[in-house]
Amino acid sequence: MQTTSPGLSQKIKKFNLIIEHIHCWRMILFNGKPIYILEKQSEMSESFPSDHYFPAYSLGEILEVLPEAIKIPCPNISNAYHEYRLQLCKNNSNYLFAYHWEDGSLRDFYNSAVYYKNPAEAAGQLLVWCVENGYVEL
Amino acid sequence: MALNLIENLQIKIKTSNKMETTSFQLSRRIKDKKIKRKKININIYVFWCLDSYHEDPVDEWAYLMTADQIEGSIYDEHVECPAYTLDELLNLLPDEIILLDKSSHFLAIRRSLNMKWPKYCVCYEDSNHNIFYPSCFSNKNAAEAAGQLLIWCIENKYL
Repeated sequence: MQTTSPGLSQKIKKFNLIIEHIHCWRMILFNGKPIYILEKQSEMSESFPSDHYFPAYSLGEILEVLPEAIKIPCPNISNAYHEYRLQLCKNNSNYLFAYHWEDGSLRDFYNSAVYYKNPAEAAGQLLVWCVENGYVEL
Repeated sequence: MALNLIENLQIKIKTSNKMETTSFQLSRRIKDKKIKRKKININIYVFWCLDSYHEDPVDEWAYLMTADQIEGSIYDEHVECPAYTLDELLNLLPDEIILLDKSSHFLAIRRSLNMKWPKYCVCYEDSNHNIFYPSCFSNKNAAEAAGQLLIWCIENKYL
């Protein structure tokens, strides 16, 4: 199983979203440099300072909170929306999750076009985009 | 007191012990197909284990353990088969399948908005998002649906 990276996990933690998770990153300092260790949340010591650990999300855990579809207002038509659906793109074991709308030959992708080796990271990046653009309620 | 209760409740909502993997039965079917785990970028390997005295394994006796837990365990269990997580299965599944009519279909995950339907559907679909229905497997657990699709790909020689 892969989880979101420490950097992305910290970013998601700041949103205070309620996401079920099993694992956490624990930060320890080694020669002044941070090292991250993946641990099971249930096995972590309660006495450990909470600012030294943060949730690490798996792909399944992120998919639970990503909206299946988002609605974007149609340009030039009042009160009309296009529904963009969650889309997985896999290319040579690289992953991109995005919102996609298709009408005949017209396609549009939301989120960046960056592919990730780790699908949890790809889904996590889309979650950040969703929160920052108001598609996931805090 | 009330604040403590709320904090505890939030912790209970946030944490979970259930790791979403393929079921024991499906994991054994995948093992029987001689599929090898791809050991790339994986943080945690999960296995279905059984106590050594069980000769005829059934679902109820199997339990999940990570590679680290097995290594540090003092109990007498044995690893029965790998328990696949969704990301591992996505890695194993082909990006694309080409049907007899030469049409390309791409790997897709859909989540149902209808509460009556199983939550996840893992399938292959064409560039217009038309699902190739023989490849469509639905389940409330996305890993289980992806595992069934993997078996389908093997049996239909797409892998």
